[in-house]
Amino acid sequence: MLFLVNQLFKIYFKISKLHLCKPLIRAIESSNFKDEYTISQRVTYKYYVGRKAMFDSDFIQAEEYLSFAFRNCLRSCQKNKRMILIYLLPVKMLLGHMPTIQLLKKYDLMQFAEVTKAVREGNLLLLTEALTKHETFFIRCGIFLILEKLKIITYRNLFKKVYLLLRTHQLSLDAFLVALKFMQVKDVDIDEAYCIISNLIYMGHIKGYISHQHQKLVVSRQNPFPPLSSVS
Amino acid sequence: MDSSPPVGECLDMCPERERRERESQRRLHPLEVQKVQRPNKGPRGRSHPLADPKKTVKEYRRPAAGKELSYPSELRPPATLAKTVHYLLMDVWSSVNYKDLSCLAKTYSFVFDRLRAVRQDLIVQRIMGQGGALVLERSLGFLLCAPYLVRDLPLADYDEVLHSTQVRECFSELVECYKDGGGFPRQAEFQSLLLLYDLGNLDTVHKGMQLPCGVLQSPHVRLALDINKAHFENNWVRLFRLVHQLNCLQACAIYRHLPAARSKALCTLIHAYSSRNSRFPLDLLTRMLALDGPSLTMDMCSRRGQTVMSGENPSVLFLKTALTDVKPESPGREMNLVEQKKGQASWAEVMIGQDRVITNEAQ
Repeated sequence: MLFLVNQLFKIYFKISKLHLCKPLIRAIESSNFKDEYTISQRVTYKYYVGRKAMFDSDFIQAEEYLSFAFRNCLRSCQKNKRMILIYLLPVKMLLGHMPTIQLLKKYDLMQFAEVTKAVREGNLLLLTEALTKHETFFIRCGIFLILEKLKIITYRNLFKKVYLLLRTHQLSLDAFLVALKFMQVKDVDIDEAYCIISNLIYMGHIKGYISHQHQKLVVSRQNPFPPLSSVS
Repeated sequence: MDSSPPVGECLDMCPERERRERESQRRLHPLEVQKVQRPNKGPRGRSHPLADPKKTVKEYRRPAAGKELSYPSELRPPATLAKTVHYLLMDVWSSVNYKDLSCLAKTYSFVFDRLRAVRQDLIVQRIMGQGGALVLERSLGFLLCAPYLVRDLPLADYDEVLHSTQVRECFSELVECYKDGGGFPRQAEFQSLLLLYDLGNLDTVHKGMQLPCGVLQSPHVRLALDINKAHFENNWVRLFRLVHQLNCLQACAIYRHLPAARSKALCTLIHAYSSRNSRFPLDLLTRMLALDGPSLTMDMCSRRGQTVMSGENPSVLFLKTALTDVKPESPGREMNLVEQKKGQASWAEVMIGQDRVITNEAQ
């Protein structure tokens, strides 16, 4: 039965009618035998459901399912492991885990190398360049928009650098605007800087508040930029 | 299985048989009857309203088992369908009185139903290509503008869910037409409308990014994709700034997303600026949320438990502890984002795309 479900998934993904997967997933998840199918079928199943979770922006579930698939996929199936990684990498990155260069080399996924570097360094300019450079590949895999989301983490890393440079808990908002302009963000202005910082505070990436009168971001004395893995 | 589709022969907006049938059954819409009624004795001696052949339009009938939909005499060929859509928009809709809600409701349900019948004729005859695209584009013009114009009607007269189902079907049929290839002058425009109508839908954006290069690079589609990207990033400052650049029809397409976008933006600001010693200027907030006036901003803030300080420079005290969880506002009037874009054109002209024709001629 799981074999059939997997074949259907394959078709639904090909014709991009992902909503048709839902009843199948429900049937399998509520079944008592779901852990008794052959491991190869379970790997395929987790791969597709993980991909679907990613498209529904449920990154926690996506990581769980795709990690299962990656771990249990036979070492000899390099090609399959690579396919899983194409989706597992963006999800892991969104949750704050960056891949090593060795891993990317091993699976011939160097398209991700610059993206990883850009996010880690908070280098928005490089991120935009890297995404444009490999646009066709990312769009074909259907992960371009997920990678766009990495911008948020890149902002966080960039702003953390501003904080580390200025070494104060009351940061001038202009400093952030300078940083954004330095990264050549298109037509950016102070209103947009407010917006980006507000989002980071709202999502828990920055602990603090903005004072409009003083044009300052006041950050918490302890741990103003919590580790990414602690922010869901 | 593959029998060739029927070819319509009916050159009137309504087949004669249906007109007679509905006349005798008293099922004519008020917009279909003759103005001057001659006394006409029915079989039981009672008079019934007479149909005006110039105003009667084929109504939508649900396909059901045993019902024949494909008599050529009851199907309208593409030219007649185009004429019908033109009549519904330029004659019927352009004479609607927006201040009279019952007139608005009556006209909306009439045009909505008759356009659905037009699409049914298209499907039964499997009309694709330019003929199909023209009819669908103009129908969509109506379907996209209507939610803005009928926003104040009660649920019984305007059901948003039913309406959006029609929009979705219409878009998917139009996209099928475009797949046929050939020149479609308004393809980029309508692909951008789809992207705006489906704002935030990953699947739509994903398909949008794979459009043929010429369409993808058009200013319409690029703007619509940029708006979607701003939305994904939650960058509502950029989102509203780009929405200002949309034309009237495009603004109508994105209209249904505005309240939720504003609500999310305000909620984020309340969290980020939450401090007892700090105030946020009301006029800046009004501008950031692209609202028409400060009173709307004040309403939004007080509904969410935030304190508005009046005075020379009104401001808001944001406190996340006071934030109450409320549903987004229901869609209202949008002077800056929608109506101003219309300029001198009538709504019917916006729907049919007349402004485009005029600007093309001017160039």
